[in-house]
Amino acid sequence: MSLLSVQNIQKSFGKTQVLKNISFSLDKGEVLAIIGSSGSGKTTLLRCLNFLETPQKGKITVNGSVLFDSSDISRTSDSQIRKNRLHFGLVFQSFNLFPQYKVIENIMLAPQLAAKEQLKKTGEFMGAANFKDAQEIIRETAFSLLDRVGLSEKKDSYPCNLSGGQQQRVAIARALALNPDVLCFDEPTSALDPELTGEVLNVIRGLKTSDSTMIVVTHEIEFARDVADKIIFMDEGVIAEEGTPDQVINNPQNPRTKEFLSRFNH
Amino acid sequence: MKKIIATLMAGLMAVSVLAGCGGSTGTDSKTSDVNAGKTESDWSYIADKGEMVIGITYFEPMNYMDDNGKLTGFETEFAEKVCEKMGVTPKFQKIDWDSKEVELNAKTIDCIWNGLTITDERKENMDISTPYMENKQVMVAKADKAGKLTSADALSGLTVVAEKKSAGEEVAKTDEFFKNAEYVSVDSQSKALLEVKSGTADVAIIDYVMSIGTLAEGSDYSDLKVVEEKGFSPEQYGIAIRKNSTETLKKLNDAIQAVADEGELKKIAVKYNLDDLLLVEAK
Amino acid sequence: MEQFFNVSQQLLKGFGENSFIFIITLLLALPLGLVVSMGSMSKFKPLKWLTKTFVWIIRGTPLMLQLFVVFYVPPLLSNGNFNFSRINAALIAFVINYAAYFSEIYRGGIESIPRGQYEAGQVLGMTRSQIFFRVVLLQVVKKIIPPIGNEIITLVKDTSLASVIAIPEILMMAKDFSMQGLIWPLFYSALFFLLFCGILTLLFSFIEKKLNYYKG
Repeated sequence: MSLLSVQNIQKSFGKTQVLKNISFSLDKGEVLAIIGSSGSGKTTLLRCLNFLETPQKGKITVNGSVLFDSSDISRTSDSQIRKNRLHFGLVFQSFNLFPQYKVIENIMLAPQLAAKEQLKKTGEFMGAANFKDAQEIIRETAFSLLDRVGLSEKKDSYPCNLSGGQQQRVAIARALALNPDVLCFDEPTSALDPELTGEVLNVIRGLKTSDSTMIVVTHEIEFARDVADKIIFMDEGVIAEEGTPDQVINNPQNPRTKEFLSRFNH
Repeated sequence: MKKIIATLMAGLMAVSVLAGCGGSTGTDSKTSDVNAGKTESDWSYIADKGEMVIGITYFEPMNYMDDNGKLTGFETEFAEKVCEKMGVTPKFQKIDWDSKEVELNAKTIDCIWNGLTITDERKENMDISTPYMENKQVMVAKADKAGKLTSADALSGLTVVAEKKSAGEEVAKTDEFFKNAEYVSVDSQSKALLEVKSGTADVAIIDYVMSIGTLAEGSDYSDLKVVEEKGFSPEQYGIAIRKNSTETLKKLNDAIQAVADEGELKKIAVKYNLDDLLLVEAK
Repeated sequence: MEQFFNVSQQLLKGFGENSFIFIITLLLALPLGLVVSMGSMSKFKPLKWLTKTFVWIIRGTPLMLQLFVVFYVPPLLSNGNFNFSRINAALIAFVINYAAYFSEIYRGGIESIPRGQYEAGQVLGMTRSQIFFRVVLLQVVKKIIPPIGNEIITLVKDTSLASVIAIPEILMMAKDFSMQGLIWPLFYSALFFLLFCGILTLLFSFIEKKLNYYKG
């Protein structure tokens, strides 16, 4: 059974239909790259998965449990949505780090809040019985995540003192700290200077080897071919083509895919 | 700023008229008493409280703080005696002189007792007691110039200041003596003196009574001098209460006479060097 | 010398009134302003327009007039049966007036926080209040400290407007001295304001410096 299943997602803003019946599924450990021109709906799709937008129609299932079903309104309470979101992590195009917190605090903030809540409810958080112990566990995890994105020595810096690439690597560590089932990237290198994209892409590549399930919306075709197990080409709100990198990028069938890719073949 | 107040006054007066109507239609529990006309209710209102709130401003020698920070002055002592006769406790409330009519109508004070000049306009809006003191308008100038202010010609080209809407302003605008001078109005008598003191104006026209306290030896204005030879527009001081308060007015006038009859009024006036100006005689 | 001492003491007493109005206004208007700003940003349209109208009226009329209205209109309408004490009327007018100004500063500060900050909090599973208090609030505070400081310094001087409803504040005291023939207290009173505002200026530059550890 697939880890993530998305069925018939429809989303309109006013009269503009942005997503028209999107369905796909993803297995554990798979990396999906979504490509397509601006306005094709790929960012909206990602935002729907993270419940930043609510689709008008469709169903989202993770690990066999239904997170969203447009025919069942009872699942749309605030607290339900908040719980659903924890299945997904999202790395934004513009990083969105919290400027007033140090790097390490940015990573630890959400897990700390979650720990407090869980300790109150169940008296236990990842084996810890009190907040102090939980805090230690969270700090350990944060350190190892920082190590993974190669920024251990920046733990006490503020975001404003980091380069764009470094900020995005912190943002990735922050998203990983909640251990999401699916980690989503929304054009993670689009806001970066060209010479800084490499370090971010390398970090994402590094995550693939650690068995993470990921969805990457990207303009970096080469990177998508390298890292993805599966590629979706979106065009005007529909999935125009879907397959392995070899199928979609090397042997595209749809004329729109061919046209899109031709812009990247210098 | 003055304009704002003036506009507001107009508005508030309109409001107070409405409020009056409200009372007479019987929506107001305190004034809708069938037997109590408005005239009676003003005195019973004051008598019920047992105190009369007296609206004052500070100016020597009428009402002012002495060196111990205690309120004193001719009006203060006079009012205390009169209230004693009326059987109420005096409560002195400092007010903004510009708002005195509003204060009275809003019942935040019960009378204005502070060297209030009796004018026709004021008599229309308020009830005013028997005149108890005389006052006149006098010229104030720098001591070295004061002696020269003897004729209209001598004032030619000089700047004259007075408080806006005061008796002094009336004099400056209408008296032949000032026809060759340039007139500027300011918002208080003390400002008028400040103008002369600083040299921005040459002559201030102020209350004689005020000049007694303000130009005393040792004050910052001691280099200014009253032109004693010439006085203008004799006027009289009275105590203002709310319009149509016949009973209050009668009690007030009776009490004033009683204080005069006992010789107390004279005693107080002498103390503040005002006995020449007193109008109420002991019978 | 004795006169100087006496005048200083009187003026200080008057400045006590100014300080009292200042402190109470700050304590009440700062939180009330936040409530008002919430109203003006509300998605519930009637509340939003009601709040906006309130802010328009309060900011669109002179504080002096508001003092008059609060103190004189209730007794005029009730034929003297109901009125606030002078100091309460002053406090009500000041708190309402300053809450309206503060609310607009808050609104500006809150709306200047990028949407991405809220969304980052959301995808990290935070509740609305966690996002507000843990993520947004400090950023808003940093943004609004300069304009709030400005407004607070204006408040110090505005307190002397209370004299129009005969609160014996420092300027009124100083004017009384001029009626008694002493001019210099009027100018001397400026020293009290200068000193007070000087302390506030130092305090605010200290807070600004404290918040300067990050940018953005």
